[in-house]
Amino acid sequence: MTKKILIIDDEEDVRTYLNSLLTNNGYHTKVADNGEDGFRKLTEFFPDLIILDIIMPNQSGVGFYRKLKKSEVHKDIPVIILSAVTQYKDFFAHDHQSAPRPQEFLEKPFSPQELLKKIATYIK
Amino acid sequence: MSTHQIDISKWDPTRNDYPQLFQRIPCYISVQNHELRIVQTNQLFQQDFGNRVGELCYEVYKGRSSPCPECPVVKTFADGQVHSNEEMVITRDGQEAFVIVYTSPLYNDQGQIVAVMEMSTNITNIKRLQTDLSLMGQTVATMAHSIKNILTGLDGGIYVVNSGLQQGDKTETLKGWEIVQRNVARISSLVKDILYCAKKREHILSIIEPNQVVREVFELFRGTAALEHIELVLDVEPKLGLILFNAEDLHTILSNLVHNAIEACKFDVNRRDHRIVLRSILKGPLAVFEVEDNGPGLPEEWENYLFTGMLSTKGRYGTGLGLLVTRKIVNELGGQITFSSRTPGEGSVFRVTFPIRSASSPQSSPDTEASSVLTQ
Repeated sequence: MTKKILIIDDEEDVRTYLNSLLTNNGYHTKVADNGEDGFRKLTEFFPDLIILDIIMPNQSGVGFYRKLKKSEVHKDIPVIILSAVTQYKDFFAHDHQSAPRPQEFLEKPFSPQELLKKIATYIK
Repeated sequence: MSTHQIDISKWDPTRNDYPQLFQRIPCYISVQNHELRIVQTNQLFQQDFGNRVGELCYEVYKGRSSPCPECPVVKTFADGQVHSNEEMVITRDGQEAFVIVYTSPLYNDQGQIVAVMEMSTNITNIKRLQTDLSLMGQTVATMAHSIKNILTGLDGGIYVVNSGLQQGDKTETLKGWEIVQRNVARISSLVKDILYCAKKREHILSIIEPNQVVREVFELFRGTAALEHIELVLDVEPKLGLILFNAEDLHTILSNLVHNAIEACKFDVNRRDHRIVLRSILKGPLAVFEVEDNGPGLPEEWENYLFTGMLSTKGRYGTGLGLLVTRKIVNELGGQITFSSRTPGEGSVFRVTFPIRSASSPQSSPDTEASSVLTQ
């Protein structure tokens, strides 16, 4: 069965890139341009994994992640943070009590092979 | 040879040449009594602050009407210890100077503290260098951040082009090529922003009517805001008359802030009744300019990164350098920029504060509140 990935990034070029990369590698994808849009997509699509940017308008990746971890239905979906922010871990630093910090970070610009490898460790 | 020069060939440490040393030492020295009145000053002090013997030190140094909080002189009177502090003072020609102050007790024959000597070293140039270095570091970090985003876009474009070529899909190939072109254009835009940010500007002050600049910025953006269905509101304080400032700098600062507010509202899909207020306020000795919007606001976790240039919520449209440039100009003019965000989703306020240098008396000193702004 085709595995599903939700891509949340405010940059259209990055969404197009990830969409093309993942589709070519056999994944089924949906895209969202911010955290709120991401949650809307979750109502119509239950992904096996989420690729999440941090800095986005309306709802940031941090806000989305917090909300995701509070959702009984979605809290166990693995998340890979994909961001150009070098101190990305700091954004989640004070969040450890309400939600565990995301385990997977990948810094932009990223190696597509590395991303595919990380994805493969979560969904096979 | 003047009376203040010491003939080193005749130097005798047992002779009382200390008054000459006191006069010639390249620091500001003042001796103050219990009332904080200046009873003695040295040559450099007199050169930069005038002959102010008999006057209160806080009036002389800062134009204040009450003693400074955490005054090291008061502390030395209380405990007889040496104290130090970093302060901002105003010289007789109205220039701001950062000084590091040391205080030491002076005793009478009975061992009682009768006065305190305050010795201040001017560290203004060091402070400026610190600020410049800090801004340079942030600019480099911002450039790196922006370049990383552009590289990701270019990687993406190349991948999509290759994917389209391999599949013989012309539409896909063109889509990838557009991404490449767009990101090359972003490099060009980034380079322009960097050059603008790096340019050293002279802030030539003249007598201006700040409200006139506020109105010009309002007129400049009114059409753009209307196109995005955003109500731009002007709220000027008529009592804010003529001040000594740089009109071009004020225009740049306010334009950047209004532009950011419009962008924030434009990308906010949660409401339709967006409103931005461009405001001038007279607050005691301070000129305050505010840009308030009811856009999405900023999440608390972003506040530490706000003026670092790392943040742009405009996706491919922003480099994040705008606020960095704004803060740089504000700092160079001795002002302060602050940000406050209400409940998430309820907008934000950017506030720029400057001590007023009155057009009629350009050497007038800012009072308590202004001093605290300037020293931050």
